[in-house]
Amino acid sequence: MQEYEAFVRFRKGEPLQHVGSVRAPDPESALEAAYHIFLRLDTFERLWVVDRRFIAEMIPDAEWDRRRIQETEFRRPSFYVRKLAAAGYTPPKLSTG
Amino acid sequence: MMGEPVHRLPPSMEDVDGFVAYIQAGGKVEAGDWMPEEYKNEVIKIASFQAILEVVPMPLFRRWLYMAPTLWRRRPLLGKIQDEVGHCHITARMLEDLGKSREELFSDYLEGRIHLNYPFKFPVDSWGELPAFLLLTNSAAVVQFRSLAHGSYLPYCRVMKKIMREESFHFYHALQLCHELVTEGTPRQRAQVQEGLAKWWHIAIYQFGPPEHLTKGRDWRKWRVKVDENETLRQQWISMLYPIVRSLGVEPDPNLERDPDTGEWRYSPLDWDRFFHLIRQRTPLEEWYVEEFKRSYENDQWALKALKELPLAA
Repeated sequence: MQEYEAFVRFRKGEPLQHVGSVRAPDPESALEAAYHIFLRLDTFERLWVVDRRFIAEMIPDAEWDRRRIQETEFRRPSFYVRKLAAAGYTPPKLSTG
Repeated sequence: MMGEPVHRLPPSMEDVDGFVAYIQAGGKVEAGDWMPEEYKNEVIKIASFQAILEVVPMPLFRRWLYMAPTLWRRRPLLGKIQDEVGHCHITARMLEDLGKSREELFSDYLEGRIHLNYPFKFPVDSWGELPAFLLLTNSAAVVQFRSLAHGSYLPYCRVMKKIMREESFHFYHALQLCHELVTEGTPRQRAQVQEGLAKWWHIAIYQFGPPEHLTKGRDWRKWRVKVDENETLRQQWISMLYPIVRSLGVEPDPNLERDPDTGEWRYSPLDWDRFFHLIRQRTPLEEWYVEEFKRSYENDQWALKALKELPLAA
């Protein structure tokens, strides 16, 4: 038996969402189990199961977060918007929608 | 969660007419869904053009990296280069899933099957001209990307959304640098920015490509990977950029005016014959890009080789 993490895309175009995990002897059985456990009610677009051994993870701590925000300040539009505002220039909003 | 979407999944195997009807009704395609070859080629064509544009002009920015007057200004340029190469990477990854390898992508460019977009064929001659060039070409890219983000191929829409967030940084950095040089720079710097804005306005306006009736061939409306006409995007760009360029003290086009009834911008006529002539040619700048590209590609072979020889885990 092996642990599989289950991910669902509920509607087309949405991101995959982690919904939980199942234990199963093989990927096909894991799909079957995940379908019956997590998707009894909802319609969905895609279900994935991934053998947990193939998942690599990274867990940032608060210090890492703090430094990340500090070190990447120059990559944020707001950094330049503030500078422009301080110089008396109101920049337009860049619509990306 | 009201109502069932009309078309939940694209039609399956070999039903091209059903697929077209699905797309025309606003249907979207996810990675791994069945799709006709012609649709796949449409995605590949559009994404390849963009992927090449993300990476090939990078030597230009690398050159300016070393000429940036302060470390403070070098840093965002470095960030931009990193972002653009990243954009090529995620687009190339999507292309690989559609069956087009990176080697094919690059050889398509080197062997002349993909052309660099028009504005990137021309050099930037001064530090003051650089942000003018960046402002106008970046904003044009944002206008194109936000339209492509509404296309029918969802993996590409996701690529566009990821890219736009970073383009927004490039845009505001360029605007702030323009503004600083215009308001606090030397008279020479101010002139470089303003002349740059006037010069690049007339080049960047070609970035959206010719009106579709001038190009024959593919039926882009059928597949909705690209959803807006080139001229529609050009109009959006003018509406967005004209007030900005004016606020920096430049009147870019004496013939620019807005039709009071339709709201359409009228501008000096564009020379599409010259565009078609130049787009297939390599300018001296582009020859340099190609040389640099080949050189890095050859220099990096050892790393590619080493990666390929690594044993796969598990």
